[in-house]
Formats: sequence, structure tokens, C-alpha cells
Amino acid sequence: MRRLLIFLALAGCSSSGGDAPGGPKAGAATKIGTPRPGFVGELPKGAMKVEDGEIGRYGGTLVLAQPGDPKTLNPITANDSATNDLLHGPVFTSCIEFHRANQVEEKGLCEAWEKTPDGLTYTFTLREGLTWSDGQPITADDFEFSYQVIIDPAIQTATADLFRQGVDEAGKARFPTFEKVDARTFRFKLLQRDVLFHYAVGSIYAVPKHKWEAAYKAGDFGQAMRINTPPGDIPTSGPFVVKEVRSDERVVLERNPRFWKVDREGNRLPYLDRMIILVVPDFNAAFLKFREGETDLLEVRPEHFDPLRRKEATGDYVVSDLGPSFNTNWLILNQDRRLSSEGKPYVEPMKQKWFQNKNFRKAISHAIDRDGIIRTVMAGRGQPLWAFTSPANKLWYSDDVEKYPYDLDRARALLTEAGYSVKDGKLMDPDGNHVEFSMTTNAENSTRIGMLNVIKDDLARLGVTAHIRPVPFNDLLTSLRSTRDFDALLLGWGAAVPPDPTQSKNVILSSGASHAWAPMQEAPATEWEKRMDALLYENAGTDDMAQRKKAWDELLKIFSDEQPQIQLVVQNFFVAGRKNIGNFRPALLRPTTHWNIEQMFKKDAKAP
Amino acid sequence: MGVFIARRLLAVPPLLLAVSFITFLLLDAAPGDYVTRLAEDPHISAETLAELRHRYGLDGSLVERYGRWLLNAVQGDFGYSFSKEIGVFTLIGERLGNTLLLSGSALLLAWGMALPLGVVAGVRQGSVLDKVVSFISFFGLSIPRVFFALLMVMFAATTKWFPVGGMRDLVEWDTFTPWQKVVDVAHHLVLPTIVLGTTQMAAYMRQMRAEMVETLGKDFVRTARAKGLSTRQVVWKHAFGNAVNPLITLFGYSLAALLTGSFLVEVVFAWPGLARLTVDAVFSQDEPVVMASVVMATVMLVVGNLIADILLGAVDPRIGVG
Repeated sequence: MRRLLIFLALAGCSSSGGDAPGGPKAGAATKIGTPRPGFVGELPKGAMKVEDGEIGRYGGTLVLAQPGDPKTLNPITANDSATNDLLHGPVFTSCIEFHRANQVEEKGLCEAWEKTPDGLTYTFTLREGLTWSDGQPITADDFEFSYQVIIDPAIQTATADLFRQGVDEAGKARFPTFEKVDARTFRFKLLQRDVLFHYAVGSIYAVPKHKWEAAYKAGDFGQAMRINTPPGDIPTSGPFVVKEVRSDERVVLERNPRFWKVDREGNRLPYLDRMIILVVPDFNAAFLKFREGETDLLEVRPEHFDPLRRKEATGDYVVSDLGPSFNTNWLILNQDRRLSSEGKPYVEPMKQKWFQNKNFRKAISHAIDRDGIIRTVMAGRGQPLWAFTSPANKLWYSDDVEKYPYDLDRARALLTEAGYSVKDGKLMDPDGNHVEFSMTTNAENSTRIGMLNVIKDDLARLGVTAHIRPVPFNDLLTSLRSTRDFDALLLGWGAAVPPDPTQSKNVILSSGASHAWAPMQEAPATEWEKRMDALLYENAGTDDMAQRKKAWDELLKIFSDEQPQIQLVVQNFFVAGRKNIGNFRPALLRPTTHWNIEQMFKKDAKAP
Repeated sequence: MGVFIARRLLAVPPLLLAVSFITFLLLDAAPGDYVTRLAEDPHISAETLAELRHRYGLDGSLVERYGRWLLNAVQGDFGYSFSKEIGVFTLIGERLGNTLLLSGSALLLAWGMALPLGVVAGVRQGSVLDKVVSFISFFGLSIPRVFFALLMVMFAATTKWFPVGGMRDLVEWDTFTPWQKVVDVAHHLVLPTIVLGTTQMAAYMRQMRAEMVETLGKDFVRTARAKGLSTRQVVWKHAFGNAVNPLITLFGYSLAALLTGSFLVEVVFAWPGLARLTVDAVFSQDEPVVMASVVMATVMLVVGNLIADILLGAVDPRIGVG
């Protein structure tokens, strides 16, 4: 069926290859096949050469399934992962890109950037000759416009968070100023140093000013580039343009005939003619479609691993183990010292004493059998997690932290030292209260419930009575972020791109909203939290990598010593792909299976 | 007639008011709101969440928010979907056709099979055909629709005779000729139609059979027979017209179910209709979409009932609707 599909794709798209004045003939055969639709216009002078990977061949359609409809085609207002995966990369590109497999930054639309020694001025230079898919040049004006949109309070985008630099007297957020130098050069003037400012700039997925300025001025930017906007009307900068969006059915992408990357032999990218994203109701449906041979790539959920592995030998696909994922799982004990709006403490004072006791937290951590969790809940496919950062993080993971192997004697010793005692098999605190609390997580997630079951049994061995309280996901998030009505809570964090420590400031800083064990502190409540704040600021305040790493490593040590967030396990991450996909280089960062889509190709695309 | 319709229509606004308020109440009682889910990402700041809440108008009290919705709705403005920034009726309009196609073909199947089979079973009581019809209708009445749908999905997956879900072949669609497209959609339509149609058919068939049995025992039928009319004429000309009356009311109700009756089947078969739109909206708490679908379903129900009453008046002169 797939051969037929490629044939049809080749035959079916011939009508859309337009004729380009002056450029190489559209749809012309090359020695690696015939791109349909063909490329248009001259190759930009500053075209980027992709050095790694195989030389592919033109043609073919890549099909994948994704749970959830894309919500918008606007790369700036997109805020859910299904939409981001579609738009950021395949359809729109940015000034600086991040190589997902090697975890290093790469040049994108910009060929160079530099900053002044004081770290307050950044200058970016765009590649020469870049154009949008409609043939208009990509210029500094487009970046000026897009930046203006991002920091406009009337436009809702999480990207603005990356540029916010404090507030002025009136309480309004302050942002760096943008300066256009010439058509290809622009400059940002910062109000304060931000060592990762170029990453923030890398998250600007610029949109063409010539197309959308009118809508923005009319106050309709939110409604520009919706999924029912005629797709031919959306100029893009990525390897593909949007050809069709059929809500709850599919998205069709087709080659951007003016894309600006070439392979190392000078063949213009992308190799693929088309990409089809099937919208499916859930991960089960995505799995079924892959198993039936309808799709080419799949992020394998743990529950689908075994059926796929069993048939791997006879199937036309490979399942690859990418090792521990970026998603951490942890348990926090609520240390919130604040009073609720009714003037009552969020956590009973008796429990506050337990949870704020370092020995208590360390004992709990020692009492949890992480290998047991991995064995029973994850079918052995995972590893214990000790550090704040997952081992998936190549640059920032550190193994030099305190570890908490399953050790009940050690746990009991720690508790005795803190004045706790065991009476009739029950753990009593120094004031003679029985240690009993609830642990909450979201009911929909059976893995998390399974982890709590193991933990509950483990804690019982210490004489701690822990109750499992599953709640709907939205309730859990509300508890975590605002009502704070929980004792212990189990959840996980994912990673941002790039997975840099500064991205964790919401979690690490004592003032952060996701500093989950005691958020939004006006001043750090403890010495170690104060020290962690200082270390994160130190990490974010310099570009000296050695110094950054040193500060971060120290922070990780404090974090593991104090156990404010008891790190549990990381699950291994698996993806599957058809054997006929070339340059299939899955990575742990989203979009995991096809982050290098412009390079991917079908090995059996029709020979020239 | 005019007065009757006017009276019925007058009852609509209070009904809509009640239904929409209860829906709003339930949405409000559900944990969290549309913005809550975004908080899973630790990188999103509290400020951004608060701004989003304000922008979507989620920061007021229940009464305040309902009042705002009502005020706009009365002026015909049902708002934009939070997630897609598209007017709710545009979104619903895109799906309406797909849902009507499915429920329309199921309706056709249900009535097309129920009437003749019900009549024949009623005429030939106790025959093999009657028993088969009884079996089908008991099967259709007793099997839970969702279970039946899942069975059919399994059937499709094992035999590969039918597609497992969806409304068309999404990979090769662009290469099809218009004729192939029609065949492809029809192929995808078979199983969901059978599931939806069978369960509806069962009820109508039993009703038709019962009415037929009763009518055939009436005096005027005996008179007709005594006149020497053929069985065919007695059954179809005299008995059928009388027996079908109560079913016309049912037909009106089944029109009311056109939009919402297929929800479950749509979800199981991944049919891109109103159901998935609404169910997704409920789960993500996309209020404007949920509210608009509920209002529309209510209107549909009222209109269906109205049509049922008018039809009944039209076929049975004894029932005046003046």
C-alpha cells in the first residue's frame, strides 16, 4: 500500500508545481529524484548547509498520527503541545534552532549573533536572500513586527514570559527594546542581563509583517491564521506549507518551494513532498494506526510497548529505546507556610512540623523502594531518579548528588534522631501524634496511582499511615497552583526546549509559582532555599560555562540533600519508525520523532 | 394551527434559559476551568495564567459570567471557541454536515427496515419471519449501543472488510476521483450506520408490529376482508394507514435526535461530527462551544417535537392542533 501511496503522491501533486521565472525549472528531475511540487526561485545566497545525516531522495509522503486537533496555525499564540509540534519546526522556523539529538543550539534563520561585553545588547544577522513561502523576503521588519506582537499585552502568548524583565512603577511588565539596524540586522537592548536571552529570541517564530500587520492593527491578530484560514494564504518559513486542515481528521503539509536549507551535497531540502498528520482521538488510536501500517512514526506509550516489540521481528518497523526520558516523577510534602484567604494555614501545624523537618523528608525518601516502583509499575523500563535533572539532559545532569537507596534501617535511624518513635507499629512524632497523611495525584493516570500504591505500602513499613486520594487532573493542578489543600502530591515535570536550568526558575526560585512544596514566597523561608535562589541567579548571570555548571551542580546537591521534592523515577522513552524512513533520528525532546523533518526521506521513494 | 405553533414557540425561551443555566452551572461545578490545564507546564507564569483567565472572562462570579453570556447570546453572539478562536457556529457548521450524513443514513436505514418488516411480522404472526424480526428487535433493544459499536470496530479490525474509523481515507483522499470519494465515504459509513440504525430500528419495528396486530383485529379490517378485498389491499390500504399513526410521533422525535443521537457512535468510530467537537469542548472546558451545542440540541428537540405534533395532526383528522 505504501508503494502505491508514494506513486500517487508523486502523480497527484504535479499540478501544483508552478513555473518560476528565472529559477530552476519547477519539478525538474535531479539525480536524487524529482521533487513535486518542485522548488521555486534561486537558492538563497545564505542557504544553510545541513552537514550531518544521509543524502536522501526526493518524493514521498510521511504520515503520522497525533492525538488532538491543532488549535491554530498561528505560531505565536499556540500554547498546546499538539499545535506547537505542528507549527514550530515543520511550518515556522526561528532565528536560532536547537539540535534535539545532540542537545546543542544551531543557527537557524540567523547566520550570526553577538552581544556586547556588558551583556545588554544583542545583535542578530539574518541569512542573505531568505524568503517566505510566498516569495517575499524575510527581513528584520518581520522580526520587529513579531516581537511587537509577542510583548503586546492584548495578545496572549506564553513566549512573552521569556522576555519579561521586571515591572515598572505602574506595575506594567518591562521588555527589552527592539532596534532595526538594516534589512537583515536587528538589535535588542536589554534592561538587565539575561544570559539566555538568545534562547528567548530563538523562541520567536516570526510571522510575515506584510501579511498580518493589517489584521494586527485592526485588533484581529488572535483571529489571524486560524485553522479555517485558507491555508494557501499563510506564508511560512519552515520546510512545509499548510495545504489543508480538516478539523478532527487531518492536516496536510506540502513542501515549501522556497525553503532555505540544503544537504551537504547542495540538494535543496526538504526531501519529502508531503507530510500528513492524522488527527486521532487518543494514543490508543495512534498506536492502532501505526500497527496497521497506516502511519510511519509513533511515540510508544508504555502500554503499547509489548505488542509492538513482539511483532518487531516480522514487521517493517524498528522500536528504539532512547533511554530515560526528560519527564521526572516526584512526590512533594506540602511545606506551605502561608495562610489561606480565610486566615487558616494551608497545612495543619502538626503536619507542617513533619514536612518541614529535613530528617523526616529524608526518611520518607529512604523508605521508598524505587526499584519496586520500576518493577511493578513500569515493567522494569525505567531507572531511579536522584537529581533534580533527568539523566536525559546531556549538559546539565549531575550524578554527584545524595542518593536514597531503599533502606528502612537508615530511615528509622533518621526518624529516631529527629525524636520520632514507634508505638504499637505506628510512627509517633515527638509530640505523640501518629504520622498519618494523604497523598494525592490525578485519577486519570494509572502509572501515578500505581506509584502511590507502592509508596503507601513502603511507608506502612515505617509505621506511617498514608492514604491515596486520587482527584481529577484539573483539581490536582488547582490544588498545586492555588488552593494548596493537600498533604503530599505526586506529579511530574516535562522539559522545555532548550532544557536549560534557567527554564526551571519557576520551580527552583522560592518566589516561583511552580516551587511546588512552598510556592510564591515573598522571601525565602529557609537558608537552603535562599542559597538555591542565589545559585540559580549565579547560574543565570554569567556565560562562563564552567561557572554556570559549578553553581548548578551545587544547587543539585543542596536539592538532593534537602529532599523538598522527593525525586522518584524516570521512565524509558521509546519510539517506533518504519524501516524505509531515512534520517530517522528520534530524540527525547519534542517533537521527538520528526524534529529533523526537513532531512527525513523515504528510502523507497521512486528512483530518478 | 398558527396559534398552536405560536404557543409552542412561546415555551421555548424559558426552556432555553433553564437548560443553558443548568449547563453553565454544571460547567462551573467541574473542577478547574479552561486555563487550569495550562498550569501543568511549570514554565508558564502565574501572571500569564491570570491574564488568560481575564481575557476569556473566566474571572467573574458564576452569575456575572452567565449574565454576560446570556446578554451576548440574546443578541445572537455566542462567542468564540477559547481554543480555536473561531466563532462557535462556524465550528458547529463545519461538523453539522458530517453528523447529519451519519444520523440521516441511520434514520433511513431504521425507518426503511422497520416499517416493512414490522408490518410483515404483524401480518404473519408466529411465522419464521416474525421470529427473525423479533430476534433482531430484541437484539437491537437489549444490546448496549457502545458495546455493539465496539464489537463492530473489532469486526472491522479483524476482517479488514471495513475501515476501523473515520469518514474517509485520509492518506489517499486527494488522489481520488469524485466518484471514488463517494464510494470511500459510503464504505466508511456502513458500520456506524448499522450500529446507529439497528438500535433505532428495533424500537420502531416492535411498535409497528404491535400496532399492526392490533389494527388487524379491528372491525373495519374485518369489514374490508368481508368485502372480498385482497390481503394486500387490506393490509397496505386499510390497516397500514391507521397503524402507522403513532409512529409518526416517533418519527418527529427521531428528527430531534438527528444531531445528538449519534454522539456515542461518533466517538467510537472517530466520526468527525459534532460529538467529537462537543466532547472535546466539555473535557477542555471550552465554555462557548459547549453552551452553543447545548442550545442547538435543545432547539432541535423542540422543533422535532413540534414537527411530530403537526404531522400527527395532518395524518389523523381526529386530533386537532388548533
